[in-house]
Amino acid sequence: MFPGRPKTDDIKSNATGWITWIALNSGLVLRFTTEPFVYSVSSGWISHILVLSAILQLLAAIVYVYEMWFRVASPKQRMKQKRNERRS
Amino acid sequence: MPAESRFMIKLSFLYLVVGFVIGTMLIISKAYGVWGFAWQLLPVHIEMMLTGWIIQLTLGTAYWIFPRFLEGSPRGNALYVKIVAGLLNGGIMLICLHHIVEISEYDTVIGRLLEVMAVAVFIGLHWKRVVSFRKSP
Repeated sequence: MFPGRPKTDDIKSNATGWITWIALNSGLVLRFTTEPFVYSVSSGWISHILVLSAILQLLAAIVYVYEMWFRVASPKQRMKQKRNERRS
Repeated sequence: MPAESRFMIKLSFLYLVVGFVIGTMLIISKAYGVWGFAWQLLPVHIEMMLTGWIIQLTLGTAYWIFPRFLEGSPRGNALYVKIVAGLLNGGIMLICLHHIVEISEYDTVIGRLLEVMAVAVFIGLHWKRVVSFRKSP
């Protein structure tokens, strides 16, 4: 829905989108499989996996914002971005 | 995309990242039993994720994407959407600040009132934009 991706790009070439999707969903799966047991199981690895899940979700949010930030632009700003891309 | 929508959407992204950082701190606190102070930020985390991220992204996107008027200003008076952004973010900031440095006991009530006013102004501005361009039979 948000503008800014080249029409020639296919779904496989959107690396940041895939990183977001994988990080968010793996984080969610790890989260709901470990969080219910964090107080009942004394083993430390549950805590480590729970923290890993939160870090994966944070990573997903950061990569998502990085991808979307430059796509939230006016038509003028997008033309300027394209001009700069062509120059570089 | 109009400047007002860009402002609201980018601000919602910032709330998303800050909200996730606080959420990660809460999980670390829960997992390792450290950073007890982080739980004081739980209401801030909820406010940022629900109102700052979800609602603000929705309002900003709706202002941009809803059907435009065919005559006059395409999205209505832009002053009203600036008021929406001001009231909504004023409310969010006030509620978040209340949980960090309490200014008065009425902070959250005033903050919620500001947010409700923002939504009311938004509905008033967009009511006539929810239309079909197909002629009635």
